[in-house]
This record gives sequence, structure tokens and C-alpha cells, in this order.
Amino acid sequence: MHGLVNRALQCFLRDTYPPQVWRDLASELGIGRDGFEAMLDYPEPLARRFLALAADRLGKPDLVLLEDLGAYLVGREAIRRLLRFGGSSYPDFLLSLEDLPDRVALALPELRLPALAVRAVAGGHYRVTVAPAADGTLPPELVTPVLAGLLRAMADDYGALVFLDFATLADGGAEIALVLLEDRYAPGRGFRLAATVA
Amino acid sequence: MRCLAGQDQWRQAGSGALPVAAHGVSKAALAGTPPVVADAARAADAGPRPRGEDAGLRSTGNEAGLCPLGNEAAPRSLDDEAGLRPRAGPPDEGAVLGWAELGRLMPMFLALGPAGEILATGPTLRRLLGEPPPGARFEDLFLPSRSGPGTREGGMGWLAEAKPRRLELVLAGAMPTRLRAHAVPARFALGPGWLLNLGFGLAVAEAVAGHALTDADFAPTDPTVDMLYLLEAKSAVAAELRGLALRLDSAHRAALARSLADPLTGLGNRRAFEMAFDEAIRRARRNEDAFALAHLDLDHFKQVNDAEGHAAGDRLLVAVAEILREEIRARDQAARIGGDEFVLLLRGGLGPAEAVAICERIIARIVALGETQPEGRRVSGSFGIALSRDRAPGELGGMADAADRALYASKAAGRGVVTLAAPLARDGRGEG
Repeated sequence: MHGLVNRALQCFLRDTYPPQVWRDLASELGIGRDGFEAMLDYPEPLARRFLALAADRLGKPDLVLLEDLGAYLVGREAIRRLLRFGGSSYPDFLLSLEDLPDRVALALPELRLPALAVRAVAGGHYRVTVAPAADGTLPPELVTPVLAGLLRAMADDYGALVFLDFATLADGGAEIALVLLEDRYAPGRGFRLAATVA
Repeated sequence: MRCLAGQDQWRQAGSGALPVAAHGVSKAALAGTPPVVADAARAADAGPRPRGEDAGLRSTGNEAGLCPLGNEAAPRSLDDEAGLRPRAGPPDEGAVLGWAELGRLMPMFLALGPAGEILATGPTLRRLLGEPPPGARFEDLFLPSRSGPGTREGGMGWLAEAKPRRLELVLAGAMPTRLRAHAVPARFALGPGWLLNLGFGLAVAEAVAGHALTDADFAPTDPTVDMLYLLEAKSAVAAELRGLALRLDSAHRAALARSLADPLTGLGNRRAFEMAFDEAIRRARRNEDAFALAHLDLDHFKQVNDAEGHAAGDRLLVAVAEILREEIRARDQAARIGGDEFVLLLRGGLGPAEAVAICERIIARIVALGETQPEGRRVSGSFGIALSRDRAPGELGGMADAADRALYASKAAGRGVVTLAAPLARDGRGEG
């Protein structure tokens, strides 16, 4: 599995919890203090073990931990910016999620997200469907909670007010049901196309 | 864009009365609507550029933009300006498009009259230019970039050539943004002219930052925003890879250093010595630097080790290593190549007396450590030295053996002695 997945979880733990948490997990995983390299591959069982150990250590369900990870990712300015390229409003951003796997692949061809489908249902209701795992894609059961956390945090970023929930589907995929209560609830954070102004 | 006139028509249009819209909606719009005529008259007077509520575009006469090609236009050849109009089918009626619609389609468009007078601009281009002053001409606002055809220096010759072309431009003014333009001859309701579509090319990131553009400034089909995304994403990936390369490099250096170090004393190990020795030989052969090789073996060390244990032996070896480090000069190198065997590579073309003096100082300090073996004999050291200057270039590889033999001579002479290998005649005979 792409090292970026492990690396993201590692950075989240390191930046969020006391240093001892990561140190203990690193030694339990038998990986050095520097941990995972974002640009190398690691076996999937190692990633799953890392997640299980971390959830256990923090006394949180896996899903909650992954959702927190999604919110944490939005807190990283570089990632927030890349996500904001999706659209100038939260509804635009939601609809652009279908492009997300392709956008990710543009940057990192080896990191393959499951296909995402977005449907706008009546009255500000949206359904984001995460396709079942295909060869080489990240598993939906890991992607979906991270995506849910990310959608929640991006709503704050755009100043929108949302309610969302997610569930796995019988076909092995998953679905996020999202209600956009208010598009412009708060001012939201700024975004400029160019990262630095000359 | 079927509305664009071909070269032949443009010439015809430019040569006389405007052959505008002979039929259909455009005829009514263009010929029959007074405001358009009035606007056209104003533009011809070099009056204010058309303005309007819709992002600065003319509010009256929406059909004042591109007009249809009349049926009276000369028959078209099929081989010019490929792609600008259909090659077959019913007579080309072109399109009627207002400046506002054109601006939505091409936010960076620029419409010029035949002499380069600015007729209209797209909304994004206006963000770059500001509102062009009345009567502004192309060459007032743009400079040619590189040696490209274009504007002030190169003249406006391309305006007369009436064929599509690519222009490399720089925005005149405080922020010299580079622009790329595609110019095609066109016919507007106002008369013949040029339609230019501008873009940022490779200067896009700079331009977007400098002019604070947003994604609303780009047409939905324009990949500029995707390009900016990609630029940022790839920069992040490249930074991560650069970090990885740096971490791997430092790990590699650390591993290399470990592989060349004697873990007990921190001096170089046999491999480090061999590498340094080979390099010293190469330099000596090139006459860059003469060097001495000094081989040290501790006297009575084995008995200390046997009687007092390895820990005591190790402490002694560490103490000797410390003495070596202190006594040699910065350019020299010391290595531990066996249990109680050390070598020194003394660089800088030092002479025999100097080399012997260094070795004797070292022996004195080893003796001064005061370590004795069970029978009361002091631990000391024996040296054998070979000098590169004493040997022909082809014989330098034998220095290690020569130093070794000199060392045994020291041992035989009663220990605590420094022996200098006899010079090997430069003709290669008479090993000492």
C-alpha cells in the first residue's frame, strides 16, 4: 500500500497526541523513529496493523480515528489548497469529488482511490458513493471514513453547514449521505488560485 | 467558429463597403438597429470603447460582435485556414455573437479594428489591462516579447497580412505579464478587424498571482486551473521526494561511515585504510603528494589481554587510539587494522626524520600510559615506516610490505623501536 497512507496516519498521531503515542506504536510496529516514508510502498497488512494498534492505543474505534484523520488532512494547508481547486463553493466542491481520484492520480499515479460518484438529491441532499475495491485501489472501508472527515472539515473551510453519515453497502462499496443545511453559514476560509501573491 | 472570415473576405471587406449580414437575424440586428450604428460611429471616431452593464461590454446591440458572413462573400477556397470554417454543406451563415457572449466563451479575447484600435476586450483581459483608455491601440498596451512579430518595434505589419498567427507579447505597464496570443482576421459589425485570444502560456502561475485571478476568470474548458492544481500537487510530491532523497543520502553516508569505522576505537578500519592507501598511492604517482606509511604493533598487549581480560585490553586500545588521534596532524589518517595493529598514513611529503619523530612521540606516550603486563614489562609499541619518496611510482604498492618488514625488524631489535624501511633504489633494485 502506498506509503502516503501510513505516513498520513503517522503525521496525524505525531501532531495530535503526546510524542509517546507515536514512539510506542513505532517500536511495536518495528519501524524506526522516523517511521514511514510517504514515497515508498508498504505491505497492506502493516498498514492495517498500524491502524488497529493506533485505535487500540487511543481507545477509539477505527472509524472515528479515520474520520479524525480526514479532518486533520484538511488542516494541512497544502492539502486544503489542493482540495479547494475542486470548486469555488461547497456544492461545486461536492460535485467535483467525482474528479478526485483522477486528480489524485495526476499528482501520484500510484495512489489509486476507488471511483466516487456524487448524486445531488432534492433539497440539498447529496449521496457520495464509494465504489467497491478494484485491483490496486485503496479499500473503500478505509477511504470512506477518511473522506467523511474530510467532507466535514471542508464544509467548515467553505463556511457551509452540513450533516453527514456513512455506511457500507452490500456490494462492498460505501455511501456517504450528506445534507447541506446551509451553503454560506459562515464566512469560511479564503482561497486564491496562486499560492503566493507576487 | 464559423463566424470568422477568411482571408479573401477580409480583403474584400477591407477594400470597400462593409459586406455585412445580408440576411437573417443579423441583418435586422445590424443594419436595422440604430444603437448599433451609433456605436459603430463612436468607435470610428475613436470615441470611448463600448461599455455596458455586462462586465464592461456594450449594452446595446448585442449583435455588435461577430457577424455572419454574407452570401455575397466571394466563393471560398477550401485550402486556406483549415479548421476555421466548414468545408462543405450549406452556405456558411456564420454566427451572431455579442461581446458579452464572446467574453464568456473567451474571457481573454481582444477585438481590434483594422489599424489595431481596441474595440472590445474580454472580462479577464480587462482585469489585466484595466479599462483601456479611449482610443487606445494595441501597440499602446502590448509590447512584443522575444523577436516575435508584433507591436511597436516589429511594427504592426501582421495586421496587414490578414492571416492567423501566433504572437508572443508582454503586457505594457507595472506588471509585465507575458502573454501568448492567437490572432485571426475577423469581421465585426463595426467592420473588419482582428480577433485575438490571449493566454498565459508558461507564465501562468506568476500571472494568476500577480493579477489575483480566480477560477471564475477562466472559461470552464480552460485547463489553466487544472494546470495550477497540478503544479502545486507536483511541487508537493517533488518536495517529498527531495526529502526522501536527502534522508536516504544521509542514511547512506552514515552506513558508509559505519562500514569504514572500527567500532571500538572510532578510528578507520582495514577497509578505510585500504581506500586511503590506494588514494595516497594515486596521488603520489601523480606527484601530488608524497606520504609515509607507519605500521604500529603494541608490545606485550596480548599478555595484558590474557591476564586482565578483554575489557582491560579494550580500554588500552581505546587509549592508544586517542594518542594516535592527538599526535597525527589533521591531514593524516589513523586506522586499526587488527587486534593491536594500527597504521598511520602521514601525508604532506614529510621527511624521514619528521616521520620517525612522530612515531617516537607516540611510543613515549604509550609507555607513559603505565600499563604493565604480569611480568612487569611495560606495554609499548614498535613502528615500521616506509616512505613513498623512497620508491619508484611502480613500487608504491610494496610500501605496506616494506613497513611490515620494518616493523618486524623493530620487534627483533627489542621493541619500543622505530625502523625506517631502507630506500628502494628508484631503478627498482635493492629492497631494504
